Amino acid sequence: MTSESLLGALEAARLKHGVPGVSAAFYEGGVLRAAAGGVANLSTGVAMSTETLAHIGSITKTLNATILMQLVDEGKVALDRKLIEYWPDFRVEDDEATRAISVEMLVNHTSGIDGTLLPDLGHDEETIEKTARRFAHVRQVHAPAHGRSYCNAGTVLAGYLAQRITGTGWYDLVKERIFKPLGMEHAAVLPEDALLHRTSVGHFRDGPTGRLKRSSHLFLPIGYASAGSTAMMSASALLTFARMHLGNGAAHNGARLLSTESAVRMRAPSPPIDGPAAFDCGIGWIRNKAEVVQHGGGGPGIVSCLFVHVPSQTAAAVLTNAEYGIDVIADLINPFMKEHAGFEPFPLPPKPVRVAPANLERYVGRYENSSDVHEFSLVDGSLMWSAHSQHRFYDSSRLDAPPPTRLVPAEGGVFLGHRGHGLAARDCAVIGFADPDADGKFRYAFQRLWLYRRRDARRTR
Amino acid sequence: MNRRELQDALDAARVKNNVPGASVAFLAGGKVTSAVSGVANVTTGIEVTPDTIMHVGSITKVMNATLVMQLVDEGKVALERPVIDYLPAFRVGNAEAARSITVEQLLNHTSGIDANLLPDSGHDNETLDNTVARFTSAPQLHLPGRARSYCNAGTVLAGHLSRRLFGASWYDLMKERIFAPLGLERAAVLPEDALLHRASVGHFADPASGKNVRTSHTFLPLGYAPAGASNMMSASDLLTFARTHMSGGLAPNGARLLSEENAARMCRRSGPVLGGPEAFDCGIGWVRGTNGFVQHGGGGPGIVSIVIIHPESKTAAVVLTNAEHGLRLIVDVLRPFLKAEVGVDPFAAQPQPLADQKIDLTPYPGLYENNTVVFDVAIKDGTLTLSALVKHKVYDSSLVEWSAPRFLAAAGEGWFLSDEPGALPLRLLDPDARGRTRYLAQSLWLFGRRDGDQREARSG
Repeated sequence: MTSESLLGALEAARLKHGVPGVSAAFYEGGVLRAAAGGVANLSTGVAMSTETLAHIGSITKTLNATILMQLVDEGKVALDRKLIEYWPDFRVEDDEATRAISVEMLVNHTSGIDGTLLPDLGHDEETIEKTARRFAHVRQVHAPAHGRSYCNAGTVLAGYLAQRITGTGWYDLVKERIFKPLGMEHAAVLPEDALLHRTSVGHFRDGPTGRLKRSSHLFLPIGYASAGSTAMMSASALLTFARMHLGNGAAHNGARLLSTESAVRMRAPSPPIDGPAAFDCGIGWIRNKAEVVQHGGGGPGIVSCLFVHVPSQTAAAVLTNAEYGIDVIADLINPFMKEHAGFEPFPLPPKPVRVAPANLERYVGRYENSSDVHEFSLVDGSLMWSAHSQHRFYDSSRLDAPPPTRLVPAEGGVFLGHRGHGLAARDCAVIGFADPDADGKFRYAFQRLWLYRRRDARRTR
Repeated sequence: MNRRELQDALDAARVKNNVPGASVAFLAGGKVTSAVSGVANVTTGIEVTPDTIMHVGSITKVMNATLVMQLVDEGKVALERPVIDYLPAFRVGNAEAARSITVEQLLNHTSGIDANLLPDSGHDNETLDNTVARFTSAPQLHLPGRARSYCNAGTVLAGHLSRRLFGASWYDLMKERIFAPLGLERAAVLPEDALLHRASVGHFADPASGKNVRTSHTFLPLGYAPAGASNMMSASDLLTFARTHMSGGLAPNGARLLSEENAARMCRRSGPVLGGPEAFDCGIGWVRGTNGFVQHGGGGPGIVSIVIIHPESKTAAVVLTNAEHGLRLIVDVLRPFLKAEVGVDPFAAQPQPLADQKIDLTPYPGLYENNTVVFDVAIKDGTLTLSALVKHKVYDSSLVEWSAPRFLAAAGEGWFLSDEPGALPLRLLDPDARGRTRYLAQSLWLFGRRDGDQREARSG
């Protein structure tokens, strides 16, 4: 790869998928290459540059977990201890879960706290501490350590714990413990700091017209900052962070942010669980095949990703400012990771199969978490699906259940659902079911990284 | 002044005064003329455009006061009633002051609460609730109603009052009760909303090279938002707001923001001030200038802005700059325009040094302070000297150690001029029983004598 070929590939992918702006950086053979194309904001027309700060969304979780591991290195926290030992006021709705949730469960998505996202309560109410306290009224998706479902609440609590232990605000922790030692100049974790820079904003496709529209708001609720709402940076700055992980805690500039042991531990499988797992992960990293670790990021009208492959000493970051930017990411990441790690991290959805599984009534029901609802019904012998959101987090969120559409059975026992671009498109929904009860009815549906519990399912254990 | 002339005047003033970027809008004879010049941010090089939002700083206070006057319109608040009638938990350091401070005193800078600015305590701690809680230990600069000194704390409390009585967050009140009805689309009161727009950022001139350097931080502490920290607008949108006030509360789009009576009341002198010194004249939310002008300035990290209206002639102007030294540009652009349109000078003449400097200096020496700055007035070689100390760093340019003493020349009736180039004139005033002046006044602020007889007011 050369800088020219990177820019060429980026522009080709960007134009092909109609994404307003893309910023990408790739690290291989000890060289970092960055490119950017398009605009940062369709309303202002300001160009996306390699210095523009773009949303990294949930990739923040890897930064957040890094701070937690720094505290482990400093002997200030132990992953296997219970959260309530460090924060006696910690509460979730379920008393047993309150006592059982360990520090590690906060960052390996096994706490089971159903706090995917809570509605935005306005600027002054959206602090990390107030959000952490709101989980006192939140139920469990699954019992602690008896399942794995992507858990924003856990990472918010991990950020709050770091803030409590150090006596320093979480935003300052990110600035002082990550940005500053790594010399990340084009990075901001507070909106008011982002205003000092060139910045990007998310975009949606307006349903009826298909026209691109700037998002009405910049971030998911700011009280979720440590789960990834406000952090913005250039793709190069994000790779500066990734290179520290490639170096097992030692940064390009000689700074050591983490012990080798902790950096390695973050990529290793985090304790096995007894129950359904929507995905595999370490601490702050999502584990893919062939020792690839990664994290994706979403937000209002944005998609971003970070990939790290230690054996080949390669890393890649792609930041887009469109809700459907995943297609650009796949076009850029697939060939790069294929070359270095031997596989494409963004495969097409599994192929449809002719014969549906028997007893489709086992799948019927309403499955939900605190932010989304999936309803499955049977019509003329076909499994039907309708999904909607419980709160409006995005301009594109729909709060009313749309008319059900037919699900198509596919290889691997999953089902495919249309999202408007066909079943072979990357935005098609791949839905699976897990953990049948005594009647054979499934307790969980899963899609991507999330588990959704059947409303009338008895809690496992 | 036509658009071309305005553009030329702005470009010239911007270059002459070394300001990175500016946005101006004028209203005269019912016609709006606007111009922009320069860059929004020297680091990114992005240009200022007519839709770029820039800091309006303390001009926010006029909008904040408008929210309270909307409450008055709705019969939910009476200006003369004590704040504690509406907010039973209201406390300041002086318990008696907490019982007597009225709603009007919050808005006309006579409450005396000495919490001009407190150190920034970090994003999640800079909420209105937390700021109001910090005022419970704030001392008094003077007894409520006795004197007038620019008071950020009062305006924060007024914002807090609106929030409680309307039952909505202050930021939402600004959006829903000011921006939305006036149709202001280039306006943002939250940093995260500002990021949707082209946004400007402040600059400081490096003392050594004179080069403009981008500020290290965008806003004053966000917990002071109602006093003017996070608010950003285009010059045209701010002019629409000012125009609404000049039109008796009726917006150009036909929306009524405020009753005619209360719009007029905001411009009238608000008082009385009971026997003590006044650093300036003001109405409710508005600062009253000379020659029939009503105005408000705005400051922040590396920014200076102004809105100025002349209700009698229905003339108005907005100038937003992104430099700490932007005031020189403001004067250069505004003075000729307003003189031509209104026929009088919007800026008061500066006092001049007396020919005879042989005056009695004994009333003056001492330390004068508020919660953010201390001045040391001393006598050296038979002449008054002045040095200053900023108690906590607010701006990149804040000098948090004692400045070198400068000589003061008498300019008549308690006025003094420092020999430091560009320094603002100051007054030493309000003699006590021993003839010692109780206050130093500079710009809009009073600074109280450290060991003065007004000290009993500080904690009560």
